[in-house]
Amino acid sequence: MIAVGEFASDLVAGARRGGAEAVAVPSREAAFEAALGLVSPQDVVLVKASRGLALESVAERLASGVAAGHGEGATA
Amino acid sequence: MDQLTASELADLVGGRLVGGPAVIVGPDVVIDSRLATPGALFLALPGERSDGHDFVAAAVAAGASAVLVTRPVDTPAAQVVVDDTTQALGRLATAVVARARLRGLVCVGITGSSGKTSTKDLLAAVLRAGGVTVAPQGSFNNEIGVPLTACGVDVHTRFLVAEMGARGQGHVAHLCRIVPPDVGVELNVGHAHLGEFGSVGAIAQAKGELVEALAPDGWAVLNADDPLVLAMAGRTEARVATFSVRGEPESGELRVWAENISADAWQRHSFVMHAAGISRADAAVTLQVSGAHQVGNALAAATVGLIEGLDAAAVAGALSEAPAASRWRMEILQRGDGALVVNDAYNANPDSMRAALTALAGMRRPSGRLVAVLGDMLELGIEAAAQHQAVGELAAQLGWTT
Repeated sequence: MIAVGEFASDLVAGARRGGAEAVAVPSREAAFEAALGLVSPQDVVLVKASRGLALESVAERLASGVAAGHGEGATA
Repeated sequence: MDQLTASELADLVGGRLVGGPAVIVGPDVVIDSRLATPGALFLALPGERSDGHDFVAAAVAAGASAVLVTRPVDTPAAQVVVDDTTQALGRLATAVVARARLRGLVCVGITGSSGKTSTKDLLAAVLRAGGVTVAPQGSFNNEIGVPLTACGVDVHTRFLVAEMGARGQGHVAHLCRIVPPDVGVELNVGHAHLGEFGSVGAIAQAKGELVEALAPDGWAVLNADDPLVLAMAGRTEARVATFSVRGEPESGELRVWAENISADAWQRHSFVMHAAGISRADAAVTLQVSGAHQVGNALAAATVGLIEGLDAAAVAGALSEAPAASRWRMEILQRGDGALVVNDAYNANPDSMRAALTALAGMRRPSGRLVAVLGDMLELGIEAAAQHQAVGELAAQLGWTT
């Protein structure tokens, strides 16, 4: 989990308590960079927050972050 | 809205006319000058960062024939000067809806803590099978969005869908005075805006204002799977219809439920829709929208369609063809390398986080991981930290990142 915002540390604390890897990042940009470095072809990524955090650009950039044809291709 | 004269407009909203009384206004009503069309009425609303009065010239240049303002501005368009443009918008919409109801317009209100916008999209798809339907863009669900949507009603409109949001007691009742509902859909009582309300009981009280506004010949459509919603049957004079994803509800003049629920790899659910009571149905539905929560939303929309006399096959067909209409809501993007990115960044509260995490856990692929990029859920009040920790813990339990 990559968490951003005022309550990022609470999201991370909960996730770690449940046994998941989690990191809090300081900004939307940092969230994008972290996700870009983490996501591989078979992964499924959820991008979600309240409207005020405007995370849609993270999802859109992440989805277009790898050019079509690169990697192993679609399987879903 | 149907076109009217500037003089009639001034009378309807109780404003002072500056300029030509015979100017024809409409059909469009806009609050964004970039959306102005020939003849449009432009409302100069106060904004957080800008003042609508600064955009009158742009709106008029785009064709607006009249403007609603709180102070006269220098423009060749007809001006109606009022004390409060938001209230004037409410009065205009009230008049537009009242006139249309006399010729048979049916108004459907939807409220709930989560799922309103998704349900609104499915409901609009169902009702369009029965006639011209006006429904909100995105989530226009407050004291501006509801009347602005209602102003889209004209002589051809058969159904108006109003999404009614609440941030406090009396908000839904206020919206029901602008758009008096013939059918009121209560989806759920959850944790959205808990900070403002203080308790879940207070939220139930506020959401129930929708069914209190129904006339005895109206219909309350209640989610039988939510006890706080089902209890609202005691707060309405209207007839009661119920829906459930868990089998036939025990009460309701019309009962609608799903059986044989299954999902594909993208969490698009299929089920058999059944109905009993004043209408009967046994029809297969395959949704295009993702997530288990959409089954209940679809049943809510189906219940309204059956109440309005649509046949079960038409309802099931409309639900099965309805696309994921609103951007940034469970919008599935496939990357060139095969990774799936689900953009659900439109909004979040604890209930919708839970629904989204659960839906995506079902989309996991054998050799792939689940990655969550999550941000704050705002407006949760004193429970905020605990709610965020609970979401984090749930994500871990569902197997998010390994």
